[in-house]
Amino acid sequence: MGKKILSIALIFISIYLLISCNESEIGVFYGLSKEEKVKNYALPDHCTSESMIKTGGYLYVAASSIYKKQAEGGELDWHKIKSPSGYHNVTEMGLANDTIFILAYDSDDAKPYLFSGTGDGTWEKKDTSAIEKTISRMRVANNTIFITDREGHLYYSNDDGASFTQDTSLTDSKLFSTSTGNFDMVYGGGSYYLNAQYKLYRGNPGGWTEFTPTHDGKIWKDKEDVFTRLYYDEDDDRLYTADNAGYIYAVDSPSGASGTSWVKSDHHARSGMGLQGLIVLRIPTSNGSTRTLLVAGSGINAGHGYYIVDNPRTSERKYLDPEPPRNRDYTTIISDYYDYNAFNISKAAINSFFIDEYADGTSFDFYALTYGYGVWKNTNKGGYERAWNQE
Amino acid sequence: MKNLNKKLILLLALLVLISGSLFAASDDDDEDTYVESFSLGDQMFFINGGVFIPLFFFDRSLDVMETNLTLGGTGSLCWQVFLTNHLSLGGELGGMFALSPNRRVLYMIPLTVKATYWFRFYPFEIPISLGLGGNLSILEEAAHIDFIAKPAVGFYWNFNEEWAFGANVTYWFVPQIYSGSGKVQSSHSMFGNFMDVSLSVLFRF
Repeated sequence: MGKKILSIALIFISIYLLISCNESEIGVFYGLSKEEKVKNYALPDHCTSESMIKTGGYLYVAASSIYKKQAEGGELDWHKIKSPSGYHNVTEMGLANDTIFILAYDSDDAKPYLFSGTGDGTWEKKDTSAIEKTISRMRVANNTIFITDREGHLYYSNDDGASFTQDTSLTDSKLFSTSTGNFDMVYGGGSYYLNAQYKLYRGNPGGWTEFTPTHDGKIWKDKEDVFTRLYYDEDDDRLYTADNAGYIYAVDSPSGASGTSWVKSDHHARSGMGLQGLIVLRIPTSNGSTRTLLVAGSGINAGHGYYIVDNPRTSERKYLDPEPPRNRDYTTIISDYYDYNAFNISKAAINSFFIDEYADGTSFDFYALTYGYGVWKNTNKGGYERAWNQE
Repeated sequence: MKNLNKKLILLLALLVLISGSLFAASDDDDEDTYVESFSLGDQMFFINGGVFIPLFFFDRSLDVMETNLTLGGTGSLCWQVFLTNHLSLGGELGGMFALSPNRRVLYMIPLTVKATYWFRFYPFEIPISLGLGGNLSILEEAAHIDFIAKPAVGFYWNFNEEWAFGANVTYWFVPQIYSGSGKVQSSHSMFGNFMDVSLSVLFRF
């Protein structure tokens, strides 16, 4: 009898110890005492969104439908505006010369088409007959509209979508393997930067130079070597990219860079987890300094929220300083402050981030656009504390 | 005065008669009634279930804070052995759940050594107990083991010599201490105060 009781007790104690090994950064009771009900600002909680723009004092987000609200905290609730009649599922959006461009799917043939508008709910379908195959993705950078088709071809328009030209200057005729392949385009420092999934290019439409980071063999085991996103940090004239193995790459003065100029992070995100959205934030802190943080969202194959990369720099090999990017579940971007409402975003795959900078030059909100977990806003809560809220 | 004396005598006589009949009835009942008496080795098993009531937290500065939890559910299994007629000792494995404002579920699983002193007023019993042990708190990915103290008082009605039914009110005191050496700052230490009200089935063997 005594031995049985002892055995049972030991089993329970073992289970206790086993379970208790998993510990977050927040005390259980402490977190509960701080938790507030997440407010909802009219965007669907489980929408997928990739694109947000700011124009005319308003923010616009493509989250299947199109929503707008006043920027810079002018209003909290989003308002749905009309999508093109007969079209639905707007997932991509860009801004060129104060005109909004969207890709919306035809309800009949389920293919995406390009529209332009000014945000009042009226849309003009653009003539994309020059694009021979079905449109796949869209990016707008430096007022140039870039379209890829499902055959992996790249097209661009410098006249607000009035006409498109196929870009035949790329060394490979087919750069984008599937309809959902990674494709990204940013502009900065007088150059465009193109992520063509397997290769990176810099230059201009019609004149590209490959500068893919040098890496050893496969980035991630037997998976394809895929670069996910680009982010250009104007203040440091630095370009970042990430891959599906969870590594981050950075290059200074990228307009003149080569493939060997890149610095690859020594560490990578949680095993098997690719990174996707990237953004650099400069955040004032209570001691008067400014912290520069690179925030990297986890990719669709993982869904672990976002990583904070502290003090990114390329002057040393270890610019992921000094630890591997840590999973900051539940936390805001500053480790001093915790956000108890961020538990949902900590599970999300993040497509991209967007900064809404205020006119005062220092304040900002930034948004995380997720795959199936809605849109999240990180804003100042007073003092130096920041917090997430689902939109 | 005479009338008053007569009335008193009648009243006394009536009381004697009534009490005599009561005692007689009591004696009859005693023939069919099991007299509670326990000795070392007699055992009991309880199944409890009820409502979990979050009360408050306080921190090391004794500042009181809301738990932000809903009413929850609780249940436990308890085994005890009598050491004397009035004192029993055993163990209890419990569990509770309650929801946070964002529908996150807090689970707590206390495992305690429990001592009980039994006051008896046949056919009722009032056990006063104290459980001391460990408590596993789980909130999504966060988990922590803490000390727990569970003082309780109950009220039971004996259905027969084996079965009894009752209710308990139990206080849960959970000091959740973080040393600061791990991931969690020491300033996150909090003292949890909760209560449960449960119905109970007791089986003696």
